[in-house]
Amino acid sequence: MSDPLLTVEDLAVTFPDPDGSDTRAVDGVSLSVEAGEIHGLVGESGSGKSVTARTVLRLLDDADVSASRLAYRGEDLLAKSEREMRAVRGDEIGMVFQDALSALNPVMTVGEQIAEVVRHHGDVDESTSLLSELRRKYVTGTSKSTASWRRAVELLETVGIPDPEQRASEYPHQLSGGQRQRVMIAQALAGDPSLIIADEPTTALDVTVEAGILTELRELCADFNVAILLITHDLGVVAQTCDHVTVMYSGSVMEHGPTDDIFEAPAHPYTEGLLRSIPEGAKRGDELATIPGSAPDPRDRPAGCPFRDRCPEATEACTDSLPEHALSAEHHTYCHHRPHEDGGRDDVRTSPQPER
Amino acid sequence: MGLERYVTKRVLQSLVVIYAVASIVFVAVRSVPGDPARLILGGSADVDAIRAMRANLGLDEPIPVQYAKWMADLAQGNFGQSIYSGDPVLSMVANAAEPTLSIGLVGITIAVLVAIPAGVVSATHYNEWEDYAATGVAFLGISMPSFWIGIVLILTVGSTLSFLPTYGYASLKAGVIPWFTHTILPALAVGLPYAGILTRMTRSSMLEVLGEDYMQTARAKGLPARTVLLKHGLQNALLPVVTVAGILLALMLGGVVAVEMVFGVQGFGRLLIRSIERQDFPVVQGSVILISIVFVFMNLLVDLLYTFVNPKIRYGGGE
Repeated sequence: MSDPLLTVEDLAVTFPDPDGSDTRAVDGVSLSVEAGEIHGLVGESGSGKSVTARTVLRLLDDADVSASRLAYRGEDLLAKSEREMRAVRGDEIGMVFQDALSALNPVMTVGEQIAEVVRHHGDVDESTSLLSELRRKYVTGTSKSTASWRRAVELLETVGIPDPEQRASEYPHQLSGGQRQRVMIAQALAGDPSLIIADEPTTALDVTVEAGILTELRELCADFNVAILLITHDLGVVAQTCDHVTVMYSGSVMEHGPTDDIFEAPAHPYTEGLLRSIPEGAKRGDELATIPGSAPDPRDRPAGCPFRDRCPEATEACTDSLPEHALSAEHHTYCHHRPHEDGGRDDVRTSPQPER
Repeated sequence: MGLERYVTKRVLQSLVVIYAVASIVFVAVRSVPGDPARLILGGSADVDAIRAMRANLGLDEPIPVQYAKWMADLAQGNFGQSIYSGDPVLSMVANAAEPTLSIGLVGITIAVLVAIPAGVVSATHYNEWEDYAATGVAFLGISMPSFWIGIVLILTVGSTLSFLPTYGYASLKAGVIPWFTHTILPALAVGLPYAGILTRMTRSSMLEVLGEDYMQTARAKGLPARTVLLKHGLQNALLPVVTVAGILLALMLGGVVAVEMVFGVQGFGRLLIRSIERQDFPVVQGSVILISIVFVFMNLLVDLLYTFVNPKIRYGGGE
């Protein structure tokens, strides 16, 4: 097997606090994304998944980052200068943010927002100096006859926006929520990247629009051979879309493996709990399954397994370490009690299995 | 996009405003105790002479008749003559307006050229020495009234740089250089407080913009830091600044009047105050109407400028 596209090993991200109570947002996360796959990064709010994603692009200036390895195509991202990172951002790794309305610039046409990525990273011969960019923005406007603009229109068409020529000249507030998210995707594609990090791309959308966007992402993944790191808190989205999943809880990875394996045989008690809490087939009035308790404060995270206070199977051993167990070559879990000492996995089978 | 319709509508509304201002001024100047005829002829003049003078000036007619005549003249663009010099009001106002507008416009230009970069640097160097320096100077500017800054400028800059005159005004017709040397000091006096406020506005607005999601998006697209700041950030940061700048503009013109006095400029403020003292009705009326025209159109200009700065605003249609 060749090197994965993106390798994250033992990543820790801390936000220093002058008062002394630093926030350890990510604590020992490892994951790898293979070329052309869709990799889901799941976890509840505050589990550190977005911080992990932003750290890959080194977008968090005020964070202390350490990792035994943070590599893209074998190149160490932490060793790169800001200038070198600019050649990675948008060019090798595109980013799709959650709320497209606030993540797109309100005073710039969507066409220009895509075209500038083409100019900076694409194969067009147009000046990207500060002065020419400012002239385009404030004086002349974006020329509609340039290669970058034509490429922007093409990209809008690719991501399924009707009447792309007209839309390219419009501003974000003139588009619908789904169209805005498609613009975000077009923008991420514009530099012809090999990896797109999509941070909760459908959270702000209606269910029907969400389905359209997920289909779009799957198709792009296949058509352009681009890998996607899909960050979400929605296991339904994962089941529909992802090849592999990494489950995070409170800054740490609990389990990772192929989507099918994890849905059919979740190994970690947290993953089991998550799957059980999907309201599949629940009737009106039924009590929905929840995981009692709440996640630990990231400023005061206990050693050992962060899930132990909410875990029905927690024992003394869980307070001091978080061991990794391989269930198969690809399916790993971080838990003292898995696989079960008796080898039986009967209880695991009872969890609901969402349709794919 | 209906912009022409919007502008037409605003211009018509402005005419109503100007008409109202004209009427109020007409009543106001005549409500002031005193009699221009008596002022012209002096305290010792006899009653017949004063009566003759009043008839001559048209002041013996009933107020409604005077009003109707004045309005009829005004509608034809005739602002009347000064009751002292007999000069046409329009040319008096135009002569006085040139220095005032020169000082005001140069002042605004300086203020904007200083304030926007200072505000941006202040925000990008938040809590560093650049920020403290810009903030210190800005507060100094805000805290000092224009006429005081004018006096200080005369005493410091004016006395050291001898090529900068500290008194009077030179028309543009006399050449750009004398015009500029005469204008620059009063313009600085007027512009500095304005620059101070705009710097602070730009700073806080830019600080807010720096935390916006679209700025992170721009960085994630691999754009250089300056492109992110100036191409993606600046216009957004200026949205609230433009609104405030428009309001401050009107206030600043008030500051020019005091500064004219300090620099001995025969400007608009001086003309207006002297005419009020002498109860020179036509000149006061004409001046106030012209001020209101300037204000109304400045406002219209700012509102129109706003449509260019903020694409979410579309007048006369759309949202």
